[in-house]
Amino acid sequence: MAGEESRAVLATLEASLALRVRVEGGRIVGLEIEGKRPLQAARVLEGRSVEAALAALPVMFRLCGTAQSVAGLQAVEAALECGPGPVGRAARSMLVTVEALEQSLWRILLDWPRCADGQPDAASLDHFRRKLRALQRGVFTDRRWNRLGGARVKADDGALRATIEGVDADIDEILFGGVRGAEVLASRPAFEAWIGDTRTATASALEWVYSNGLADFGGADVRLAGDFDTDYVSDRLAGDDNWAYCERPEHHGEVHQTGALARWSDAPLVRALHGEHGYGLVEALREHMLTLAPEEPNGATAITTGRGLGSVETARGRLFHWVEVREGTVARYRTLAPTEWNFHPDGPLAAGLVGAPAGDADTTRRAVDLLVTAIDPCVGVELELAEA
Amino acid sequence: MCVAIPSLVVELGDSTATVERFEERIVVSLLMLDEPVELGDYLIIQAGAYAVEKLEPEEAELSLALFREWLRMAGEDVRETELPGAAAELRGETRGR
Repeated sequence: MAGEESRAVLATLEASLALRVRVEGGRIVGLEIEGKRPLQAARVLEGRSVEAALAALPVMFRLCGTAQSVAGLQAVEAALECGPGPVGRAARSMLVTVEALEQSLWRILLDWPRCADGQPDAASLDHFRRKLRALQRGVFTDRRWNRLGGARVKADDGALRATIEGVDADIDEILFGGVRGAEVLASRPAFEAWIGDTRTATASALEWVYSNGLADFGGADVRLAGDFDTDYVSDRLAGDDNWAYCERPEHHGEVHQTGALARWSDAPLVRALHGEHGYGLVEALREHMLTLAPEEPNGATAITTGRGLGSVETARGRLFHWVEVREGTVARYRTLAPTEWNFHPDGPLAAGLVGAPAGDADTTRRAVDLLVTAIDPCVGVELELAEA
Repeated sequence: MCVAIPSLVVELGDSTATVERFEERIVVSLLMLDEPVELGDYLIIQAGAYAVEKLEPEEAELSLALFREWLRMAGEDVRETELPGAAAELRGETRGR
């Protein structure tokens, strides 16, 4: 294959978002979002047995393979009216949480400092990743946990709890500088005092945001997704023959924001900061820290016999898989990722950026980069800033 | 959607590797891997810069086969690559084994 052809092939496979930000008179006046994402990759699952399709999911979507696997399992099990009991569901949910935690730590330890003129902390991320691997291995008895109907969960011998407590302690030490994260995140004065007093890479990134007057940068008034109406989403995915809904989803006619901010919108500190800064940059970043422990809902929805919807809360927001099964074979498969909500042309990034103040080019670029990181696409981003 | 293309290790440095996928080569850090890497291994790369996982050859080959199938569906003219054979050769195994 010639070099040019291979680049074209890679461009088809590799997902990315191209953002073109237009600045004029000290303000951002325009944003174009061009997505290059293999949205229809799940087409290769169609025509395969459900077992083969489920085995393919973590292989194709390796970087968030656990969430993708669980969403797929939920969808197929809902269609076939089978599935694990509460312990098996909780065990899967734990694996999703561990994966989400790793993704959030990646953002906080590497990407926040990179955007905010600081030093990425790859060594700490590596430390956490090793502990999280141990946690993953402690949940099921064998590594093929993604079996239809459920897999065997390890007996609780206390080791899992000890590992979780170790990760918690390390988060307090490495991210929060030796104080309890729960206390830092409990109130606005505690949070802002901590930023002023602490020299971890995380606190320094937030200090950069405040000191550059960017705390309310990019605030948007896009509806936060609380509980999705899964019947509505199922119906839309069932009728999405040309994948248009998967590319630009809506919920009862409105664009929603999904992810950390939506999950934590009722927390007292979130409300306090929202009153001061709107849902701007500092708020979006802080939510990411809260998402170090994403919670339910993760759940399957049976639609009619032969069709099912899987719904998993990942670090970046809600992931849906929808399937139609006929005689043990996948007839149709649709996936809807959180990035399609959050980077929708009318979504939170566009609503927050257009009209936002723009200072010097370097600070503006860093602020946009940080906001993109906070809203958190599941793909790489190419950012272009153009002064009119 | 965040698909992950297995990348073949074609050169090794101190804590880096040069990897190849669909004939594109990039240099990635091995800092995030907690297992040894050899020529011919398949790695998963995150953010275009870090190897985050080593795949079993069978998993990598299944993954590449799925991506080739999808590319054909998407209308790309994709030839069967020599990657599985090339990987075995890099690992010092007999080709076609």
